[in-house]
Amino acid sequence: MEKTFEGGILINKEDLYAALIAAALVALLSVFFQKTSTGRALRAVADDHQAAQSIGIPLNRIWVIVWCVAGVVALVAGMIWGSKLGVQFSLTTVALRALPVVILGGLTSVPGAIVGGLIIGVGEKLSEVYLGPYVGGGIEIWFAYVLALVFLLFRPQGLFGEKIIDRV
Amino acid sequence: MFYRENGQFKTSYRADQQIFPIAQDRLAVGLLLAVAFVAIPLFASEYLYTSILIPFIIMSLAALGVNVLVGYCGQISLGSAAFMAVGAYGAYNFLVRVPGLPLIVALILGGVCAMLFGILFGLPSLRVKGLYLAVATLAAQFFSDWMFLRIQWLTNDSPSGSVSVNNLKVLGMALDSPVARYLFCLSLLAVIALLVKNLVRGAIGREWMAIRDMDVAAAVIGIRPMYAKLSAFAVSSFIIGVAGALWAFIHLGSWEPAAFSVEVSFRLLFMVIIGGMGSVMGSFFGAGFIVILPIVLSRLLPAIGSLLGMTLSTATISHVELMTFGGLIVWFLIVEPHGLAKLWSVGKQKLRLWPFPH
Repeated sequence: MEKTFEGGILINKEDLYAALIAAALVALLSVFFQKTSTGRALRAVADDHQAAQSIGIPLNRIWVIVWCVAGVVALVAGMIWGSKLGVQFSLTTVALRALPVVILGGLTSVPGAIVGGLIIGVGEKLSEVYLGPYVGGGIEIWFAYVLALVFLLFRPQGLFGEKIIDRV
Repeated sequence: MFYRENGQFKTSYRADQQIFPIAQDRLAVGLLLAVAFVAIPLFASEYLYTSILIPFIIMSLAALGVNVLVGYCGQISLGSAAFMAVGAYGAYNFLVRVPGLPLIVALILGGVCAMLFGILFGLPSLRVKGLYLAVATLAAQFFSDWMFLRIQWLTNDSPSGSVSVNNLKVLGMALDSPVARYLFCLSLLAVIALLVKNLVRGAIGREWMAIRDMDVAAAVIGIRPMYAKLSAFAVSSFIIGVAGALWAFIHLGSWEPAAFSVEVSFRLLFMVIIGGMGSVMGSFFGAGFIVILPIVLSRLLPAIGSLLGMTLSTATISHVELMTFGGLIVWFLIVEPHGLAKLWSVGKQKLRLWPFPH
Protein backbone atom coordinates (compact mmCIF):
# COMPACT_ATOMS: atom_id res chain seq x y z
CA MET A 1 0.00 0.00 0.00
CA GLU A 2 2.97 2.27 0.60
CA LYS A 3 3.39 2.63 -3.17
CA THR A 4 -0.18 3.64 -4.03
CA PHE A 5 -0.82 5.90 -1.07
CA GLU A 6 2.02 7.91 0.29
CA GLY A 7 2.55 7.08 3.95
CA GLY A 8 0.12 4.15 3.84
CA ILE A 9 -3.45 4.13 5.11
CA LEU A 10 -4.35 4.54 8.75
CA ILE A 11 -7.32 2.49 9.83
CA ASN A 12 -8.87 2.90 13.23
CA LYS A 13 -9.30 -0.39 15.06
CA GLU A 14 -12.85 0.59 16.01
CA ASP A 15 -13.72 1.22 12.37
CA LEU A 16 -12.43 -2.20 11.48
CA TYR A 17 -14.54 -3.85 14.17
CA ALA A 18 -17.58 -1.85 13.07
CA ALA A 19 -17.08 -2.94 9.47
CA LEU A 20 -16.67 -6.57 10.54
CA ILE A 21 -19.78 -6.48 12.69
CA ALA A 22 -21.74 -4.87 9.86
CA ALA A 23 -20.52 -7.49 7.39
CA ALA A 24 -21.40 -10.33 9.75
CA LEU A 25 -24.85 -8.88 10.35
CA VAL A 26 -25.49 -8.47 6.63
CA ALA A 27 -24.45 -12.07 5.95
CA LEU A 28 -26.65 -13.28 8.80
CA LEU A 29 -29.65 -11.30 7.59
CA SER A 30 -29.27 -12.43 3.99
CA VAL A 31 -29.19 -16.07 5.06
CA PHE A 32 -32.16 -15.46 7.39
CA PHE A 33 -34.25 -13.84 4.67
CA GLN A 34 -33.33 -16.18 1.84
CA LYS A 35 -32.94 -19.60 3.44
CA THR A 36 -35.07 -19.97 6.58
CA SER A 37 -38.80 -20.54 6.44
CA THR A 38 -39.44 -17.58 8.78
CA GLY A 39 -37.47 -15.32 6.45
CA ARG A 40 -39.51 -16.48 3.48
CA ALA A 41 -42.70 -15.88 5.43
CA LEU A 42 -41.50 -12.33 6.20
CA ARG A 43 -40.91 -11.64 2.52
CA ALA A 44 -44.29 -13.09 1.62
CA VAL A 45 -46.01 -10.80 4.13
CA ALA A 46 -44.08 -7.82 2.78
CA ASP A 47 -45.32 -8.66 -0.69
CA ASP A 48 -48.99 -9.15 0.09
CA HIS A 49 -50.57 -9.45 3.55
CA GLN A 50 -53.78 -11.07 2.48
CA ALA A 51 -52.21 -13.64 0.18
CA ALA A 52 -49.72 -14.55 2.91
CA GLN A 53 -52.50 -14.96 5.44
CA SER A 54 -54.55 -17.10 3.09
CA ILE A 55 -51.74 -19.65 2.76
CA GLY A 56 -51.51 -19.95 6.53
CA ILE A 57 -48.79 -17.56 7.65
CA PRO A 58 -49.61 -16.37 11.18
CA LEU A 59 -49.56 -12.61 10.76
CA ASN A 60 -49.42 -11.78 14.48
CA ARG A 61 -46.28 -13.81 14.99
CA ILE A 62 -44.71 -12.29 11.88
CA TRP A 63 -45.34 -8.76 13.18
CA VAL A 64 -43.61 -9.59 16.46
CA ILE A 65 -40.63 -11.16 14.68
CA VAL A 66 -40.24 -8.36 12.18
CA TRP A 67 -40.27 -5.64 14.83
CA CYS A 68 -37.77 -7.62 16.92
CA VAL A 69 -35.38 -8.07 13.99
CA ALA A 70 -35.68 -4.40 13.04
CA GLY A 71 -35.10 -3.38 16.64
CA VAL A 72 -32.04 -5.60 17.09
CA VAL A 73 -30.41 -4.44 13.85
CA ALA A 74 -31.08 -0.81 14.71
CA LEU A 75 -29.73 -1.45 18.22
CA VAL A 76 -26.44 -2.75 16.82
CA ALA A 77 -26.19 0.20 14.45
CA GLY A 78 -26.97 2.58 17.30
CA MET A 79 -24.34 1.04 19.58
CA ILE A 80 -21.63 1.26 16.93
CA TRP A 81 -22.59 4.80 16.02
CA GLY A 82 -22.80 5.81 19.66
CA SER A 83 -19.42 4.36 20.61
CA LYS A 84 -17.82 6.17 17.69
CA LEU A 85 -19.55 9.56 17.66
CA GLY A 86 -21.21 9.78 21.05
CA VAL A 87 -24.84 9.45 22.06
CA GLN A 88 -27.09 12.47 21.74
CA PHE A 89 -30.72 13.17 21.10
CA SER A 90 -29.90 14.06 17.49
CA LEU A 91 -29.31 10.35 16.85
CA THR A 92 -33.05 10.25 16.08
CA THR A 93 -32.45 11.99 12.77
CA VAL A 94 -29.72 9.57 11.68
CA ALA A 95 -32.38 7.12 10.52
CA LEU A 96 -33.54 9.64 7.95
CA ARG A 97 -30.19 9.37 6.24
CA ALA A 98 -30.64 5.63 5.83
CA LEU A 99 -33.75 6.16 3.72
CA PRO A 100 -32.06 7.30 0.48
CA VAL A 101 -29.68 4.35 0.83
CA VAL A 102 -32.41 1.71 0.84
CA ILE A 103 -34.35 3.56 -1.84
CA LEU A 104 -31.33 3.72 -4.11
CA GLY A 105 -30.45 0.08 -3.54
CA GLY A 106 -33.99 -1.19 -3.75
CA LEU A 107 -36.28 -1.80 -0.78
CA THR A 108 -36.44 -5.57 -1.08
CA SER A 109 -32.76 -6.31 -1.46
CA VAL A 110 -29.98 -6.77 1.12
CA PRO A 111 -27.09 -6.42 -1.40
CA GLY A 112 -28.88 -3.31 -2.63
CA ALA A 113 -28.56 -1.75 0.82
CA ILE A 114 -24.79 -2.39 0.80
CA VAL A 115 -24.17 -1.06 -2.70
CA GLY A 116 -26.55 1.83 -2.10
CA GLY A 117 -24.77 2.67 1.15
CA LEU A 118 -21.40 2.72 -0.58
CA ILE A 119 -22.67 4.85 -3.47
CA ILE A 120 -24.36 7.33 -1.16
CA GLY A 121 -21.51 7.47 1.35
CA VAL A 122 -18.79 7.94 -1.25
CA GLY A 123 -20.97 10.20 -3.40
CA GLU A 124 -21.71 12.50 -0.46
CA LYS A 125 -18.07 13.03 0.42
CA LEU A 126 -16.82 13.31 -3.17
CA SER A 127 -19.54 15.80 -4.08
CA GLU A 128 -18.69 17.85 -1.00
CA VAL A 129 -15.01 17.99 -2.00
CA TYR A 130 -15.34 18.43 -5.75
CA LEU A 131 -18.73 20.11 -6.27
CA GLY A 132 -19.16 21.86 -2.93
CA PRO A 133 -16.80 24.80 -3.55
CA TYR A 134 -18.73 25.82 -6.67
CA VAL A 135 -22.13 26.11 -5.00
CA GLY A 136 -21.16 27.39 -1.56
CA GLY A 137 -20.42 24.15 0.33
CA GLY A 138 -22.47 22.13 2.79
CA ILE A 139 -24.21 20.18 0.03
CA GLU A 140 -23.70 16.96 2.01
CA ILE A 141 -27.07 17.34 3.73
CA TRP A 142 -29.14 17.13 0.55
CA PHE A 143 -26.89 15.38 -1.95
CA ALA A 144 -27.97 11.85 -0.95
CA TYR A 145 -31.65 12.70 -1.27
CA VAL A 146 -31.33 14.45 -4.60
CA LEU A 147 -29.20 11.58 -5.91
CA ALA A 148 -31.89 9.10 -4.84
CA LEU A 149 -34.59 11.34 -6.34
CA VAL A 150 -32.90 11.60 -9.74
CA PHE A 151 -32.16 7.90 -9.67
CA LEU A 152 -35.81 7.06 -8.93
CA LEU A 153 -36.90 8.99 -12.01
CA PHE A 154 -35.04 6.52 -14.20
CA ARG A 155 -35.36 3.33 -12.18
CA PRO A 156 -38.34 3.48 -9.78
CA GLN A 157 -37.58 0.14 -8.13
CA GLY A 158 -34.00 1.05 -7.19
CA LEU A 159 -30.82 -0.75 -8.22
CA PHE A 160 -31.62 -4.30 -7.19
CA GLY A 161 -35.30 -4.06 -6.30
CA GLU A 162 -37.90 -6.35 -7.79
CA LYS A 163 -39.71 -4.87 -10.74
CA ILE A 164 -42.87 -3.06 -9.66
CA ILE A 165 -45.91 -4.47 -11.42
CA ASP A 166 -49.25 -2.69 -11.06
CA ARG A 167 -52.46 -4.62 -11.20
CA VAL A 168 -56.00 -3.36 -11.07
CA MET B 1 -83.13 15.31 18.48
CA PHE B 2 -82.23 18.64 16.98
CA TYR B 3 -79.98 17.27 14.26
CA ARG B 4 -82.61 15.96 11.84
CA GLU B 5 -83.03 16.53 8.15
CA ASN B 6 -86.71 15.52 8.20
CA GLY B 7 -88.88 17.93 6.31
CA GLN B 8 -86.03 19.57 4.46
CA PHE B 9 -87.12 18.83 0.91
CA LYS B 10 -84.82 19.77 -1.93
CA THR B 11 -86.63 21.09 -4.97
CA SER B 12 -83.65 21.99 -7.14
CA TYR B 13 -80.27 20.47 -7.98
CA ARG B 14 -78.70 23.64 -6.70
CA ALA B 15 -80.17 23.11 -3.27
CA ASP B 16 -79.22 19.45 -3.34
CA GLN B 17 -75.59 20.11 -4.23
CA GLN B 18 -74.77 22.95 -1.87
CA ILE B 19 -71.81 22.60 0.49
CA PHE B 20 -73.90 21.96 3.59
CA PRO B 21 -77.17 20.36 2.47
CA ILE B 22 -78.55 20.11 6.02
CA ALA B 23 -79.92 23.31 7.52
CA GLN B 24 -78.50 22.58 10.99
CA ASP B 25 -75.00 22.31 9.49
CA ARG B 26 -75.38 25.70 7.82
CA LEU B 27 -76.53 27.18 11.09
CA ALA B 28 -73.62 25.59 12.98
CA VAL B 29 -71.04 26.87 10.51
CA GLY B 30 -72.61 30.32 10.58
CA LEU B 31 -72.49 30.33 14.37
CA LEU B 32 -68.89 29.13 14.34
CA LEU B 33 -67.88 31.93 11.99
CA ALA B 34 -69.75 34.45 14.12
CA VAL B 35 -67.99 33.23 17.26
CA ALA B 36 -64.60 33.29 15.56
CA PHE B 37 -65.01 36.71 13.98
CA VAL B 38 -67.08 38.56 16.57
CA ALA B 39 -67.26 36.83 19.94
CA ILE B 40 -63.61 35.83 20.39
CA PRO B 41 -62.21 39.35 19.76
CA LEU B 42 -64.53 40.61 22.51
CA PHE B 43 -62.90 38.68 25.32
CA ALA B 44 -59.63 37.08 24.17
CA SER B 45 -56.42 38.09 25.90
CA GLU B 46 -53.10 38.75 24.22
CA TYR B 47 -51.72 35.42 25.45
CA LEU B 48 -54.63 33.58 23.88
CA TYR B 49 -54.00 35.28 20.55
CA THR B 50 -50.26 34.98 20.27
CA SER B 51 -49.67 31.52 21.64
CA ILE B 52 -52.87 29.63 20.83
CA LEU B 53 -55.22 31.17 18.31
CA ILE B 54 -52.81 32.51 15.69
CA PRO B 55 -50.57 29.38 15.62
CA PHE B 56 -53.69 27.23 15.48
CA ILE B 57 -55.15 29.14 12.55
CA ILE B 58 -51.93 29.19 10.54
CA MET B 59 -51.20 25.53 11.20
CA SER B 60 -54.77 24.65 10.21
CA LEU B 61 -54.14 26.42 6.93
CA ALA B 62 -50.92 24.47 6.39
CA ALA B 63 -52.60 21.21 7.39
CA LEU B 64 -55.36 21.98 4.88
CA GLY B 65 -52.70 22.23 2.18
CA VAL B 66 -51.05 18.98 3.25
CA ASN B 67 -54.46 17.32 3.34
CA VAL B 68 -55.08 18.22 -0.30
CA LEU B 69 -51.90 16.39 -1.26
CA VAL B 70 -51.80 13.52 1.24
CA GLY B 71 -55.45 13.06 2.10
CA TYR B 72 -57.14 13.76 -1.20
CA CYS B 73 -54.51 12.80 -3.77
CA GLY B 74 -52.70 10.13 -1.73
CA GLN B 75 -49.19 11.42 -2.40
CA ILE B 76 -47.21 11.21 0.86
CA SER B 77 -45.06 14.28 1.32
CA LEU B 78 -42.39 14.91 3.93
CA GLY B 79 -41.38 18.22 2.35
CA SER B 80 -44.21 20.38 3.66
CA ALA B 81 -41.95 22.57 5.79
CA ALA B 82 -39.81 23.20 2.70
CA PHE B 83 -42.86 24.55 0.89
CA MET B 84 -43.60 26.72 3.92
CA ALA B 85 -40.03 28.03 3.88
CA VAL B 86 -40.16 28.79 0.16
CA GLY B 87 -43.44 30.61 0.67
CA ALA B 88 -42.05 32.62 3.57
CA TYR B 89 -38.76 33.59 1.93
CA GLY B 90 -40.46 34.14 -1.43
CA ALA B 91 -42.97 36.56 0.08
CA TYR B 92 -40.15 38.23 2.04
CA ASN B 93 -38.09 38.78 -1.11
CA PHE B 94 -41.00 40.28 -2.99
CA LEU B 95 -41.84 42.52 -0.05
CA VAL B 96 -38.25 43.75 0.33
CA ARG B 97 -37.29 44.07 -3.32
CA VAL B 98 -40.48 45.60 -4.70
CA PRO B 99 -41.17 48.87 -2.88
CA GLY B 100 -44.78 49.51 -1.96
CA LEU B 101 -45.98 45.99 -2.71
CA PRO B 102 -49.21 45.25 -0.78
CA LEU B 103 -48.88 42.47 1.80
CA ILE B 104 -51.62 40.33 0.27
CA VAL B 105 -49.95 40.42 -3.14
CA ALA B 106 -46.63 39.46 -1.53
CA LEU B 107 -48.29 36.54 0.25
CA ILE B 108 -49.86 35.32 -2.97
CA LEU B 109 -46.56 35.67 -4.85
CA GLY B 110 -44.87 33.72 -2.03
CA GLY B 111 -47.51 31.05 -2.51
CA VAL B 112 -46.76 31.02 -6.25
CA CYS B 113 -43.03 30.51 -5.51
CA ALA B 114 -43.92 27.57 -3.26
CA MET B 115 -46.22 26.27 -5.98
CA LEU B 116 -43.42 26.21 -8.57
CA PHE B 117 -41.07 24.57 -6.04
CA GLY B 118 -43.76 22.02 -5.23
CA ILE B 119 -44.37 21.16 -8.87
CA LEU B 120 -40.62 20.69 -9.39
CA PHE B 121 -40.30 18.31 -6.45
CA GLY B 122 -43.63 16.70 -7.30
CA LEU B 123 -42.26 15.43 -10.60
CA PRO B 124 -40.98 12.15 -9.05
CA SER B 125 -44.59 11.38 -8.06
CA LEU B 126 -45.22 10.54 -11.71
CA ARG B 127 -42.87 7.57 -11.41
CA VAL B 128 -42.92 6.47 -7.78
CA LYS B 129 -45.35 6.33 -4.88
CA GLY B 130 -45.63 5.51 -1.22
CA LEU B 131 -42.41 5.36 0.79
CA TYR B 132 -40.31 6.08 -2.30
CA LEU B 133 -42.15 9.34 -2.82
CA ALA B 134 -41.79 10.27 0.84
CA VAL B 135 -38.01 10.01 0.46
CA ALA B 136 -38.09 11.98 -2.78
CA THR B 137 -39.95 14.79 -1.03
CA LEU B 138 -37.43 14.68 1.84
CA ALA B 139 -35.01 15.90 -0.83
CA ALA B 140 -37.10 19.07 -1.09
CA GLN B 141 -36.85 19.49 2.67
CA PHE B 142 -33.09 19.21 2.95
CA PHE B 143 -32.52 21.16 -0.26
CA SER B 144 -34.52 24.11 1.06
CA ASP B 145 -32.71 23.96 4.44
CA TRP B 146 -29.45 24.29 2.56
CA MET B 147 -30.69 26.81 0.02
CA PHE B 148 -31.78 29.41 2.57
CA LEU B 149 -28.62 29.00 4.62
CA ARG B 150 -26.13 29.16 1.77
CA ILE B 151 -27.58 31.29 -1.02
CA GLN B 152 -27.18 34.74 0.43
CA TRP B 153 -29.21 36.50 -2.23
CA LEU B 154 -32.41 34.77 -1.06
CA THR B 155 -32.05 36.07 2.47
CA ASN B 156 -31.07 39.59 1.50
CA ASP B 157 -27.39 38.92 2.39
CA SER B 158 -27.99 38.28 6.07
CA PRO B 159 -25.21 35.94 7.26
CA SER B 160 -27.20 33.25 9.13
CA GLY B 161 -30.28 33.38 6.94
CA SER B 162 -32.30 35.10 9.64
CA VAL B 163 -34.56 37.88 8.41
CA SER B 164 -37.36 39.92 9.89
CA VAL B 165 -40.31 41.99 8.74
CA ASN B 166 -42.09 44.82 10.49
CA ASN B 167 -44.69 47.52 9.89
CA LEU B 168 -47.02 45.15 8.08
CA LYS B 169 -50.05 46.88 6.57
CA VAL B 170 -53.16 45.48 4.94
CA LEU B 171 -55.38 47.86 2.95
CA GLY B 172 -53.98 50.79 4.89
CA MET B 173 -54.54 49.23 8.32
CA ALA B 174 -51.49 48.38 10.39
CA LEU B 175 -51.26 44.81 11.68
CA ASP B 176 -49.76 45.81 15.00
CA SER B 177 -52.32 44.52 17.51
CA PRO B 178 -52.90 40.80 18.11
CA VAL B 179 -56.60 41.27 17.25
CA ALA B 180 -55.78 42.64 13.80
CA ARG B 181 -53.34 39.83 13.13
CA TYR B 182 -55.85 37.25 14.31
CA LEU B 183 -58.63 38.62 12.12
CA PHE B 184 -56.32 38.84 9.10
CA CYS B 185 -55.23 35.19 9.44
CA LEU B 186 -58.79 34.09 10.13
CA SER B 187 -60.15 35.82 7.01
CA LEU B 188 -57.47 34.23 4.83
CA LEU B 189 -58.17 30.83 6.38
CA ALA B 190 -61.93 31.19 5.81
CA VAL B 191 -61.44 32.15 2.14
CA ILE B 192 -58.94 29.38 1.43
CA ALA B 193 -60.95 26.75 3.31
CA LEU B 194 -63.99 27.64 1.20
CA LEU B 195 -61.87 27.39 -1.96
CA VAL B 196 -60.52 23.99 -0.97
CA LYS B 197 -63.92 22.69 0.00
CA ASN B 198 -65.24 23.64 -3.42
CA LEU B 199 -62.19 22.28 -5.25
CA VAL B 200 -62.49 18.86 -3.66
CA ARG B 201 -66.22 18.71 -4.43
CA GLY B 202 -65.58 19.49 -8.06
CA ALA B 203 -64.20 17.58 -11.01
CA ILE B 204 -60.58 18.07 -10.04
CA GLY B 205 -61.18 16.83 -6.49
CA ARG B 206 -62.81 13.70 -7.84
CA GLU B 207 -59.79 13.13 -10.08
CA TRP B 208 -57.49 13.44 -7.05
CA MET B 209 -59.55 10.96 -5.07
CA ALA B 210 -59.62 8.51 -7.98
CA ILE B 211 -55.82 8.72 -8.19
CA ARG B 212 -55.59 8.19 -4.43
CA ASP B 213 -57.87 5.16 -4.40
CA MET B 214 -56.15 3.37 -7.27
CA ASP B 215 -53.98 5.21 -9.74
CA VAL B 216 -53.86 2.50 -12.42
CA ALA B 217 -57.63 2.18 -12.48
CA ALA B 218 -57.97 5.96 -12.60
CA ALA B 219 -55.61 6.14 -15.58
CA VAL B 220 -57.60 3.42 -17.31
CA ILE B 221 -60.86 5.36 -17.08
CA GLY B 222 -59.21 8.39 -18.63
CA ILE B 223 -57.88 10.53 -15.78
CA ARG B 224 -54.50 11.98 -16.68
CA PRO B 225 -52.21 11.02 -13.77
CA MET B 226 -49.69 13.73 -14.61
CA TYR B 227 -52.27 16.50 -14.63
CA ALA B 228 -54.04 15.23 -11.51
CA LYS B 229 -50.90 14.66 -9.44
CA LEU B 230 -49.14 17.86 -10.43
CA SER B 231 -52.29 19.93 -9.90
CA ALA B 232 -52.57 18.44 -6.41
CA PHE B 233 -48.93 19.33 -5.75
CA ALA B 234 -49.53 22.85 -7.11
CA VAL B 235 -52.68 23.58 -5.08
CA SER B 236 -51.27 22.00 -1.94
CA SER B 237 -47.91 23.75 -2.03
CA PHE B 238 -49.57 27.08 -2.85
CA ILE B 239 -51.68 26.83 0.30
CA ILE B 240 -48.74 25.60 2.37
CA GLY B 241 -46.62 28.45 0.97
CA VAL B 242 -49.19 31.06 1.99
CA ALA B 243 -49.39 29.42 5.42
CA GLY B 244 -45.60 29.49 5.68
CA ALA B 245 -45.50 33.18 4.79
CA LEU B 246 -48.16 33.89 7.42
CA TRP B 247 -46.29 31.79 9.99
CA ALA B 248 -43.13 33.76 9.35
CA PHE B 249 -44.65 37.23 8.97
CA ILE B 250 -47.44 37.18 11.51
CA HIS B 251 -46.48 34.58 14.09
CA LEU B 252 -42.69 34.73 14.18
CA GLY B 253 -41.89 38.22 12.89
CA SER B 254 -38.23 37.36 12.51
CA TRP B 255 -37.11 33.90 11.56
CA GLU B 256 -34.29 31.73 10.25
CA PRO B 257 -34.27 28.59 8.09
CA ALA B 258 -34.34 26.37 11.21
CA ALA B 259 -37.92 27.51 11.82
CA PHE B 260 -38.94 25.31 8.89
CA SER B 261 -37.00 22.16 9.73
CA VAL B 262 -37.94 18.59 8.94
CA GLU B 263 -39.63 18.40 12.34
CA VAL B 264 -42.32 20.80 11.11
CA SER B 265 -42.90 18.55 8.10
CA PHE B 266 -43.51 15.60 10.38
CA ARG B 267 -45.84 17.62 12.60
CA LEU B 268 -47.89 18.65 9.58
CA LEU B 269 -48.13 15.05 8.43
CA PHE B 270 -49.19 13.97 11.94
CA MET B 271 -51.88 16.65 11.94
CA VAL B 272 -53.34 15.27 8.73
CA ILE B 273 -53.15 11.64 9.89
CA ILE B 274 -54.60 12.32 13.34
CA GLY B 275 -57.19 14.79 12.11
CA GLY B 276 -58.40 12.62 9.27
CA MET B 277 -57.10 12.12 5.77
CA GLY B 278 -59.31 13.43 3.02
CA SER B 279 -61.38 15.74 5.17
CA VAL B 280 -61.34 19.52 5.38
CA MET B 281 -62.72 19.32 8.90
CA GLY B 282 -59.95 16.90 9.83
CA SER B 283 -57.26 19.49 9.13
CA PHE B 284 -58.72 21.71 11.84
CA PHE B 285 -59.05 18.85 14.31
CA GLY B 286 -55.48 17.74 13.63
CA ALA B 287 -54.05 21.24 13.96
CA GLY B 288 -56.00 21.71 17.18
CA PHE B 289 -54.71 18.42 18.55
CA ILE B 290 -51.06 19.09 17.76
CA VAL B 291 -50.97 22.82 18.57
CA ILE B 292 -53.29 23.07 21.56
CA LEU B 293 -52.90 19.74 23.36
CA PRO B 294 -49.25 20.28 24.44
CA ILE B 295 -50.23 23.64 25.92
CA VAL B 296 -53.19 22.12 27.76
CA LEU B 297 -50.99 19.28 29.01
CA SER B 298 -48.31 21.61 30.30
CA ARG B 299 -51.00 23.52 32.20
CA LEU B 300 -52.75 20.42 33.47
CA LEU B 301 -49.78 18.34 34.62
CA PRO B 302 -48.69 20.53 37.57
CA ALA B 303 -52.28 20.52 38.80
CA ILE B 304 -52.46 16.72 38.61
CA GLY B 305 -49.08 16.50 40.30
CA SER B 306 -50.21 18.65 43.20
CA LEU B 307 -53.37 16.54 43.55
CA LEU B 308 -51.16 13.50 44.05
CA GLY B 309 -49.02 15.45 46.47
CA MET B 310 -45.99 15.74 44.21
CA THR B 311 -44.13 18.83 43.07
CA LEU B 312 -42.99 18.34 39.51
CA SER B 313 -39.90 20.10 38.26
CA THR B 314 -40.03 21.89 34.90
CA ALA B 315 -37.90 19.22 33.25
CA THR B 316 -40.14 16.42 34.52
CA ILE B 317 -43.20 18.25 33.31
CA SER B 318 -41.83 18.65 29.80
CA HIS B 319 -40.79 14.99 29.70
CA VAL B 320 -44.13 13.75 30.97
CA GLU B 321 -45.83 16.09 28.52
CA LEU B 322 -43.95 14.54 25.59
CA MET B 323 -44.72 11.01 26.78
CA THR B 324 -48.42 11.71 27.33
CA PHE B 325 -48.61 13.40 23.95
CA GLY B 326 -47.01 10.42 22.19
CA GLY B 327 -49.21 7.99 24.07
CA LEU B 328 -52.34 9.93 23.15
CA ILE B 329 -51.39 9.92 19.46
CA VAL B 330 -50.98 6.13 19.51
CA TRP B 331 -54.19 5.68 21.50
CA PHE B 332 -56.24 7.85 19.13
CA LEU B 333 -54.92 6.02 16.09
CA ILE B 334 -55.73 2.62 17.61
CA VAL B 335 -59.23 3.71 18.61
CA GLU B 336 -59.97 5.47 15.33
CA PRO B 337 -57.49 4.77 12.51
CA HIS B 338 -59.32 7.20 10.23
CA GLY B 339 -58.71 10.16 12.47
CA LEU B 340 -60.75 12.57 14.55
CA ALA B 341 -62.84 13.63 11.55
CA LYS B 342 -64.20 10.09 11.33
CA LEU B 343 -65.20 10.22 15.01
CA TRP B 344 -66.99 13.48 14.26
CA SER B 345 -68.93 12.07 11.32
CA VAL B 346 -69.81 8.89 13.22
CA GLY B 347 -71.10 11.09 16.02
CA LYS B 348 -73.22 13.08 13.60
CA GLN B 349 -74.60 9.91 12.06
CA LYS B 350 -75.59 8.59 15.49
CA LEU B 351 -77.21 11.92 16.34
CA ARG B 352 -79.38 11.76 13.21
CA LEU B 353 -80.88 8.46 14.32
CA TRP B 354 -81.04 9.18 18.01
CA PRO B 355 -82.65 7.70 20.13
CA PHE B 356 -82.76 4.65 17.83
CA PRO B 357 -79.60 2.61 17.29
CA HIS B 358 -80.27 1.88 13.57
